[in-house]
Amino acid sequence: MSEEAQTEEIPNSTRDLEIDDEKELMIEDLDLWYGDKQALYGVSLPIAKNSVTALIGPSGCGKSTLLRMMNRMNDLIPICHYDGKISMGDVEITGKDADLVEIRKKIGMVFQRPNPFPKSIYDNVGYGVKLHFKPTREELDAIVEKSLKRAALWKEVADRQHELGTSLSGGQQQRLCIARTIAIEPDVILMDEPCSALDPIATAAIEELILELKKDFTVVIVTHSMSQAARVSDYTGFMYLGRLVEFDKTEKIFSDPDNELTKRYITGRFG
Amino acid sequence: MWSSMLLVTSTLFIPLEIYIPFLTERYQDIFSPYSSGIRAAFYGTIWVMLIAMISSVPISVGAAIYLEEYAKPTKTTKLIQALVTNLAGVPSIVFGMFGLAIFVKQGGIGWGLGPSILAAGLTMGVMAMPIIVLASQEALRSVPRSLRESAYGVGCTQWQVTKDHVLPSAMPGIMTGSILAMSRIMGEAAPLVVVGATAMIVFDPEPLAGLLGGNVNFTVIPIQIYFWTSEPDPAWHAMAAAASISLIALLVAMNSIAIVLRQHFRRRLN
Repeated sequence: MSEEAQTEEIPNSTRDLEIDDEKELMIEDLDLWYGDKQALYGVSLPIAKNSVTALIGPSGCGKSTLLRMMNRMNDLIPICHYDGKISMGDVEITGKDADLVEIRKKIGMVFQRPNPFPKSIYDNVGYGVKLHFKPTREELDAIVEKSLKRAALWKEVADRQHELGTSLSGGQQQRLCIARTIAIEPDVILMDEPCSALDPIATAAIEELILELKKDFTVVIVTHSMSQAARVSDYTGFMYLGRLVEFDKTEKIFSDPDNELTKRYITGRFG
Repeated sequence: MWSSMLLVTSTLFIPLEIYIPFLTERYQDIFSPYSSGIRAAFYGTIWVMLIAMISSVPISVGAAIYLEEYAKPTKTTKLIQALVTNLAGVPSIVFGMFGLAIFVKQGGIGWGLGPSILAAGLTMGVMAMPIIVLASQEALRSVPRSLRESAYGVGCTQWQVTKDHVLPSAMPGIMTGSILAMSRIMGEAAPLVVVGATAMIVFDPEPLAGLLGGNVNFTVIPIQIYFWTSEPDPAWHAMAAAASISLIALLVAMNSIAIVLRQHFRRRLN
C-alpha cells in the first residue's frame, strides 16, 4: 500500500463540532497514550445534555478509552497519560487537582460485564448513597426503592432485596449496576458496551431503560452494535484508529454520512 | 448417615478409663519420664504463637496493602519487593540470630527482653512476616479489577475501595496465609535454640516475664522433642514420639481452622 493511500485511510479527527442542544460535557483535543503507544489522536467531542450519545467503531479504535477518560477511570492504569481538556460546565475534569470522587459522583459508569458488589441487592444500591450523602435508614430505603424502580428491576427483586446481588441473572445484574449508578444522582451515565454480555431479551430491556433514563440523565454509550446505536442514540460518533472520524446526529450518520469511511463501516463493508 | 451415627454412639461403649496425663502434667525430673508431660511446652508454644500472630499479622497485612495497592512501581518499591521475597527463603536460624541481637540482648540496638517468651514470640513474628506479606499480596492481587472499577465508579476514594471491597474479598486468602505461616513457625526449633528456650521447665511459663520481670524460662514443643530425643534413656524417646504426635495434632487443628475459615468467607462472598 502506498503511503498516500495509507494517509487517506487514516483521517484526522474532525474539529469545530457544534450541536444545537445544550452541552453537558466538552472534550477538546484529547491525545492519550498507553506507554509509548498513542491511543487517541486529537479527539474533540461535545456531549449534549439529556440525550444519548453513542460511540461506534471497530475494536481497538479507542472508543472505550475515550469513554473511560470522561470520569478519569483511565487513571487506574499507571502507564496511561494524556494531553487535552475535558470540561463539564466550569469543572475541568482533566485538571491536575480535579476532585476524582466528585467527578465520579457526577459522572457514573456502567461496565461491559455486570459487576455488582458481592453484597446484598440493597447494599449494592445503597453503598454509594451512604458514601456520599449519609442518609437516614428511611431515606436510604426510599432511595434504594426509587433507584430499583427507575432501573426497571423493582418488580423482580422487591421481596428479595437482601439476597446477594451476584445471585441475579446477567441482565438483572446489569440493571442492578444501573440502579447503583443512578442512586447517587449523577448528571452523566457512561455505559461501556453494557449489553455485550447479555442475551437479546435482556439487551432489549436495557435499551428501553436507556431511552427512559435520558429524560433525567445524559447518557454516553459505547457499543459494537450499530443497530443498537441507531435505536437508542441521538448523536453518534464514529471512531477509527484513535480518531473521531465523524460526529453528527444519529439520523444523519446512518442515512447520509459525510465520510467515506463511516459509510463503509455502517454498511458493514469493513470493521 | 446411619453408619456414622452408629460409629459415634459405639465409641460411648468403649471402656474409656485411660488417663492421659501427658498433655496436662508438668515435667517432673530426669528420672521419671513416664510421669512427665508437655504442659509447659504446650503453653510455651501457644504463647509464642499468640505473640507472633499479634506482632506480625497487622504489620504484614499493612505492608502487603501498601505494596500492592498504594506503592508506585519505583526502583525502591521493586527493591523492597525483592527483599521481602528473599526474606521468605532465609534460613530460620538466621532469624534466630536476629532475634538474639534485637530482642534478647541488652544494650546497643538490643531491647533486652532476655531469653523470654516475648523475645521468642517477636522473633517468630519477624520470621512469619515475609510469608504473610507474600500470601496477602497474592490474595490482594487476585481480587478482580472489575470489583475495583465498580467501586471507583461509584466515587470511592482509594482507601474506601481498599477497606470496603478489596480487603473483604482478599480476606480468605489473607487469613489462610497467616494461619499457614503460624503453623510453619509452630514447628520451628532452630531460632528458639538461639533465642534461648530451655528444656527443663517445671512451672508454667510467664508470657510477659521479659517485660515485667520474673521467671523468663520457657520452652516449646519442638525444643522439648529435640532435648528428649538426646536423652540416653529410651523411655524419653517414647515421650519425644508422643510429643511429636501432639505437635502434629496441633498443626492439623490449625490447618483445619484455616480451611474452615476460608470456606466460611467464600460462601459469604459468593
